Amino acid sequence: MAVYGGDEVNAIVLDMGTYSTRVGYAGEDMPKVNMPATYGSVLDQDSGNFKHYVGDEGVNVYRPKMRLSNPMREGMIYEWNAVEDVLDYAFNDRLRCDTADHPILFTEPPWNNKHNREKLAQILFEKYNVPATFVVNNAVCASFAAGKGTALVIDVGQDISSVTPVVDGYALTKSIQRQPIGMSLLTNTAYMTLTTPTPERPDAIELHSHQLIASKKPMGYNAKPVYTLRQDRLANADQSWRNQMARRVVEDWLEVCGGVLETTFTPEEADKKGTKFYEFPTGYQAIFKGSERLQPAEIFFNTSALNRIRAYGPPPIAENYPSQGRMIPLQEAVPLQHLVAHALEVQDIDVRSSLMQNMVLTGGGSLLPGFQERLLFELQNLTRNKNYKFHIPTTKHERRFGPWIGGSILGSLGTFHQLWVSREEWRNSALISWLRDVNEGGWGICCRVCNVML
Amino acid sequence: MTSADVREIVSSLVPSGSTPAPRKAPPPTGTRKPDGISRELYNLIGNAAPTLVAQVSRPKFKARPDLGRARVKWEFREFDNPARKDHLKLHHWQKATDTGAYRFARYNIDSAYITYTDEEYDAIYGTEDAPWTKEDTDYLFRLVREYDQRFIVIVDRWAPPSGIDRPIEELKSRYYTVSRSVLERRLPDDDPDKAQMLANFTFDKEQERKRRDYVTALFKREPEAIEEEEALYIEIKRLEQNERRFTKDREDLLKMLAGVESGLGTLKVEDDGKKKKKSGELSADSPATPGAPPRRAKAEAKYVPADDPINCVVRYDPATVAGPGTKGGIPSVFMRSTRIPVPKPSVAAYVTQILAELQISPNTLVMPTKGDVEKLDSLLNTAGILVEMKRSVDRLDQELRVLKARQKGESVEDAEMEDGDGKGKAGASRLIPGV
Repeated sequence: MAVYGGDEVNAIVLDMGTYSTRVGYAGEDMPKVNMPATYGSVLDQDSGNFKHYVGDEGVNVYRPKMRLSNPMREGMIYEWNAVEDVLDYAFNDRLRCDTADHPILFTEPPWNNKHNREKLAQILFEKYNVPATFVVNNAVCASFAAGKGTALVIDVGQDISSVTPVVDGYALTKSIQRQPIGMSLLTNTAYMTLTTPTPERPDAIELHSHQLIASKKPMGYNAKPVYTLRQDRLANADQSWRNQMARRVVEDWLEVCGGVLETTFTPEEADKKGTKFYEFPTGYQAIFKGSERLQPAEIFFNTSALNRIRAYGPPPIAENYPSQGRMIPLQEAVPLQHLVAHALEVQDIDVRSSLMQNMVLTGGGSLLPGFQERLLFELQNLTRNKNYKFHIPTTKHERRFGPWIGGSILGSLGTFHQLWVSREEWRNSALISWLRDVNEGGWGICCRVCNVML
Repeated sequence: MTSADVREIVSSLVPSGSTPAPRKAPPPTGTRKPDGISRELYNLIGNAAPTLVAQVSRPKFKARPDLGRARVKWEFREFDNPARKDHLKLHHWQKATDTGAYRFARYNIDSAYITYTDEEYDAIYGTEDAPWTKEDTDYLFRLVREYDQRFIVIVDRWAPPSGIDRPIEELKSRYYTVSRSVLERRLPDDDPDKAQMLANFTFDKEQERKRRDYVTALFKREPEAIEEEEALYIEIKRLEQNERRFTKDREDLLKMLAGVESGLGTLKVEDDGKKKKKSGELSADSPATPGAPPRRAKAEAKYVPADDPINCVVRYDPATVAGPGTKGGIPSVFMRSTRIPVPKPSVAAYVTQILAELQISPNTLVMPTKGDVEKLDSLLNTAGILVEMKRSVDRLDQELRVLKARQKGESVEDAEMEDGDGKGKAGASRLIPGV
């Protein structure tokens, strides 16, 4: 029992990301709720107010004039008006719990600002009446989920790729490296790949989502698709919703066909990885060559691929409140292996080798087949050093929900419960800077217990 | 319906008399099948079944849950965490019998850290503590406490009031120096643990910097350099092994052929080992010549102490006195008497005779000195030469006689017969006239 060290107090772990929001009970191995981060808003003609739709069935269903937007940017909350809808949906509709009984542990990216942190805590305390909250760095959570107190966390997220060194459960904030090369940019690149005609495919692929297809006919490979669109929906669908649904098609294509070549990319080498078959919602069936499938992910590793996308990358991100630390802008972005090597280079020599031996890959990018092998290959070639070791969970859901699982471990530890920030502490004006203090202090005991437990 | 019934029906269809009515199977006469062995297996091995197996491998089923025991009641209970300073009440499931303090509170321990008062600081440093200010030092001590002396984290969080960035060894040095001064003032001089306590807080900034530089250099080695070092290391190990094997072989050979067991074989190996340890990679450059004398030995051989002539000590180059049982130029142990010169075997008998005539016996030399041995040596040589002379004189006399007899007209046959007797003599006799 002492070795396990768990003591469950029914805490809820809330992990909000740019792509999805994960909510569940601490101590479980999977979040109960995994919902898209985006929300839809429809103007109610009678009252003149916007009605918000969240969750899978809220966002992915066709609604006339529903506009989709993402309240998250770079893993930080950016639009507050939808956050309560998201939380309402998660706590009331999905978990169906009374939040007054559950302390809530929430994660934040290492570059989160104080305002965001305090505002979320305020919402939780005032609206949801939670007895206590706590905020944890999600890089730290990811390293805990991998069973490490000291790790170099490489997070390839939706908006951002970041490299965060974690030593004894503390993220070293000064040496965090991040740049806006993430899965959304990969989706953009794949979108361009699919919609650009090639000699084998003279017509651009039409990426209508299945909600807009009225009927389609089975056709052979590479035959021009025969389908009819639902014109009523087409006329009333908001452009943001249509874009988002088209991106979902591309994301699905990436999940099926995408991947990374394990060695330096050449079309000949990539073609050896074999072809894959995919049928689009329009009924168009195509076979994708290795070079076509694996080309988009080169933006993570290849300078020339990076140079190509710099031209049509995402628009510059406007920020309400500046994040901490510096983000490398897209125009100066470097391949991921350079980012990792640089993050290691600025580390203290005494922890550098242990960080090299404990590299944790997390985020959506880690789900791409071959990603880890390629990163290792590029790192070894770049630094002429073979002593890198990755610690990646083999099961996919552990990779997807890495930071949430770390939070789940933390929130169910007996020794953790002294660290919760209670309502009483929060009210006390003398502890106004509590979040900074608890975030940075009092970690030693958690780490020690985690080390014992894992 | 049993199979016997079927057979009865079938046999009624077949004309009677063609087959005998099936006899009832005799009742099994063998012993009963023991428990713990399957029927099929028992049929195969029959009575030969080892009884032990049946006893030992009796199938064991999962133990039944002991439902008779008193059930433990669990309660969903509010608890107070003594490790907390506020009154946060959380709920958890707990055994109803479990009513102690919160069991994880005891892990809330703080490592010992040092604090100082303003007076102490002023007394130690006053105001002229140039590169550091009191505010920065306070801030450093707060961070050390907050992060439990994890200096790598402290240097990352470092944002002091003065805004001066400092490297990690600077922070460590400051922390340890101040702690040491505070302790030195605080502990009474007669405290037996004082020296030990102070020693715990010594920190050499320069050494730390050197260490870090060294580790950095090690880290920055090119892969080729690392490979070369590894190859050299393996080569050293191989050479050492070779050398050891050679030494052993030599020793074995000596033992077998010369019957010498000097005990130096093992000494040599030990010596080599020491040399390796001392000079590290040097031995990798030297070729694999296990028999070659070590350089140090040669250098020592050339050294002559000043008082040798007074003590009548004469030193020989080991190579020149190599006798049986020498090894790598180093003479093995020998008896001094074996060094007394002996006459050549061919003339030994005459020489001994001469010495007897002169009434000199080598056995009288109990403790032969250099001079004695030299004189005896020259005597023996002279005696040897004398004997040789005598022999050649005798031979010449003999030949002279033979030639004279031939002149007197002895028969040719006699001479030829003599020639056939000893070709050597005849050859010699022919040579003589030419001389």
